[in-house]
Amino acid sequence: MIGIRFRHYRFKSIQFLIAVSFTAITVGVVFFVSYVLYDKFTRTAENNAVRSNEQIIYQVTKNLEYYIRSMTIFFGEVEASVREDGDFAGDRLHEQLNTIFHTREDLVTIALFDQSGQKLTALPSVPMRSNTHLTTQSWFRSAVENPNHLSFSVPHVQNLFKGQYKWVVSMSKGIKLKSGGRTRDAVLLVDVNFKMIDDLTSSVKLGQKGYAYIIDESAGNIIYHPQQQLIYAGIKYENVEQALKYTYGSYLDESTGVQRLITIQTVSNVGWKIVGVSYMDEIGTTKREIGGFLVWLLAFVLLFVLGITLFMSAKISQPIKRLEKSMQLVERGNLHIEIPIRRDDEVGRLSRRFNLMVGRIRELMDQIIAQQESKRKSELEVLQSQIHPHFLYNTLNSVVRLAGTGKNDEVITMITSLSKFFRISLSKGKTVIPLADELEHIRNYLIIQKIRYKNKFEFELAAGEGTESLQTLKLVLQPIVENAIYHGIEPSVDEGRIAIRADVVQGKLRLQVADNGVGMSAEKAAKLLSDGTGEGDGTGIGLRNVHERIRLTYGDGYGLQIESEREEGTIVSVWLPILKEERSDEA
Amino acid sequence: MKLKSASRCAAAAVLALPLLLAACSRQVEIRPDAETQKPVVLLVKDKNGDYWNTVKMGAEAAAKDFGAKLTFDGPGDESDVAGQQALIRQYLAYGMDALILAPDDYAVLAEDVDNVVRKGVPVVAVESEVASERVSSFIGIDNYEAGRKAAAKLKELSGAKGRFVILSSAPGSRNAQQREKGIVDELSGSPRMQVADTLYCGSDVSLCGVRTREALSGGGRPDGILALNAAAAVGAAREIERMGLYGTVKLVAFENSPEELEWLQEGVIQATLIQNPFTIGYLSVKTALEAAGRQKVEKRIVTETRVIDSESMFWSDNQKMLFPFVQ
Repeated sequence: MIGIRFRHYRFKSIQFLIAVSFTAITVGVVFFVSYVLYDKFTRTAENNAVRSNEQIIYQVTKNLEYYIRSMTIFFGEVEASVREDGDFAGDRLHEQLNTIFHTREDLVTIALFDQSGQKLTALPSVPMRSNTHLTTQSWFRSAVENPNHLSFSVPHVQNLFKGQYKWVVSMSKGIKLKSGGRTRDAVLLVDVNFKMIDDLTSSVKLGQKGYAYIIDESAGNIIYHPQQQLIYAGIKYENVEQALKYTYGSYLDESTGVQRLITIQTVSNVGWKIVGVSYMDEIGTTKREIGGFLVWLLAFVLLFVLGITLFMSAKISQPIKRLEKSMQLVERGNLHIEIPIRRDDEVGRLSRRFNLMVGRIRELMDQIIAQQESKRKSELEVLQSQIHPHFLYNTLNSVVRLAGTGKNDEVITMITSLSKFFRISLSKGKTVIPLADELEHIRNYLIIQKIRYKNKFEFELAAGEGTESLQTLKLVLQPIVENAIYHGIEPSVDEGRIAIRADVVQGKLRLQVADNGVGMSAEKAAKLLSDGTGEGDGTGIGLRNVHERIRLTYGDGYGLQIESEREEGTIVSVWLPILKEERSDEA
Repeated sequence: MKLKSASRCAAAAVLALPLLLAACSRQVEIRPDAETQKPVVLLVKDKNGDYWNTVKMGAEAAAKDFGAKLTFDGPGDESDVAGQQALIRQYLAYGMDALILAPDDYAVLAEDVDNVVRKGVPVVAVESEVASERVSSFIGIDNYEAGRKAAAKLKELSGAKGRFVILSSAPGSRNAQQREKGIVDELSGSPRMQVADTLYCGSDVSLCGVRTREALSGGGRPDGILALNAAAAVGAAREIERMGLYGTVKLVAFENSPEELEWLQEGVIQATLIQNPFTIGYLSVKTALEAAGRQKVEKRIVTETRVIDSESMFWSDNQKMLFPFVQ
């Protein structure tokens, strides 16, 4: 159970919350940013690849166009030479062509045939083979079918002359020759090998594995391919059909099982297309590199953030935990705790407040203890004053003396007063009694004292309207009156007077005991209540007691007030709250 | 202030981040070192032969494609069995990843092949088979089927009648035996056609010429000759041309050496059974690399054969098969 509670507590801790939310947010953000970056990077890489491929292929196309133009010009020169010459089969033309023939290394054949396929002149100067099927060959047919139009054939093996069989592209044109006023149709043929085309095309570098090839746009025959033999052997395959649909541009092709970027440009005039092929996995390498890098970044940032959050959350929650521990101690009753304040942040301020609070509680506790002690003491004194053994003894002595002198009336008065006095003194153990009872009590006391002091003083009791029913702490007047008699009236030579009044003043009940005794100095009067020691004759112990009792019961706003003047008398005011007929259970 | 020191620490860590990342991102490209790469050895029957050079071209194309190192070698003569054995031992001592062998002899080389395979080097047989169970794969034409195709062409050319002579290399040549068997089996369906004789002339063109002359000069001149290899075909063609018998004596040949093709165009050779040595070379290297990489390979890869005549030899498809594309 403890384990579960512990875990529960841990999962709800601020540290956990901070760590989790920080990490979650950071991971989210980093993931998002990584994804966006990855997406952006790869798309840029792909776009760049596409663009650079297109540029490269465009360049190749331009070069190839230039080459074809130069071949066309060359063909034009040959044609001009042939036209100039009237005797087509003569040595002069052959000689002339031979000179031209050896200027270029990409030439295989220059030949002139008539419409039936009869050789008029030809280079190289080797015998022709039989069974050449010359008139059925595509270059011958297209020259005959489209006279005056230079056509380029697809690659084929030139089988006209003895010697090697060579792969060539044939340029052919049907021309009209004038000789001696007669016009004859003839076919002029120039065969070129793949040397130049290979040079132009194989120099293309489209990544590590990429290449370019040339197709014929009418039928999709491959004119040139860096791996032509593999294509011919059927080992390699190019998706020519797809490429034929484009004039220029790029697309992705997956017909060979791998993703390849195909870039197409059309070579003008010959009807060829250059097809650039580059492998997406090479672009993918960049992609993978970026991906790998981002994974690293992610891992690192995660680790970093985790570390930071753990550190931060610990930093935040640890002082709180320390505070909590201290509070637990306080809870168990240890008030002598001081939390060390390490920082001036929120927790630091909280700690300081906590320290102050604990201090205040400590003070209050001490105060309460002191109050309880003094209360108990004064209660004990009240109990004692209820009995008044000394007063009883004196009174009874007086009664005996009065009885001896036969003053029966006075004896009766005295005994009756004594009896009433004690009845109210005890008043069933209650501490709070109606003011009327208190006044009755003091009256009886004064009656007894007056007889004892042989009418040395007069007294009067007056209660303001409605005050008699108010409640008061009992036995507050007796010590005051006792004081007035012993220290005020008795030393005085004049006839004494004691006036007791009860009034409601400023929302409080005021009981006033005024005498015309010897009085005292203002300093002494002021000291009377505050000075705990009580000097000399013990004057004031009773007063202080009453003062303390009232203040403990009703608070600091109440208590005694002493005004006095030497030879004039003393007025002691007792301030009490206005309490109406209310049952107090206080013991 | 503690908070400040903490933030300073964080700032330092953030500054250190790019440095660390830069350290992480510097990757080294790992490529197999060409120096430590062992070669795939291609041992052919005759390193100067046209056929074998086309095989070599195919093998080189494959080596380039798959990034392998290729060594091409072979004796100077198809009958030099001992020379081929010596080469096998030599390259085994040098070390190789795979051996592609065109065995000069079906039986004799079996032991050498076993020996090579025991050393952990896979062997791929090309063109001719070898009597070893341990060969990873055989790549070549079906000689029996080729024999039948050639005989069928001869039947068509001769009107399914006549006496014919077979010109073969040697009695022990397994390829020749199978071709001959195919021919005999095919002709057995035509009662008016018969094989008069089988003549042997090795791979010597002039000897084949002599044998042809002998066969044509004697009484009962045969109506046609079946030349089972390039040397026999050329020897026979030259002789027929010299004797002015072209067209009269039908010549059906095997293989497609340049000279055979010239004779074919000239009409001295009526037809020839061609194969695709380039493809054989390419596939042999591909298969050998697969075998060296412990991949499963096909035990027997049969490549295409075609019968062509002077009419069809320049058909686009046949051109591609007949003439190696060189710039």
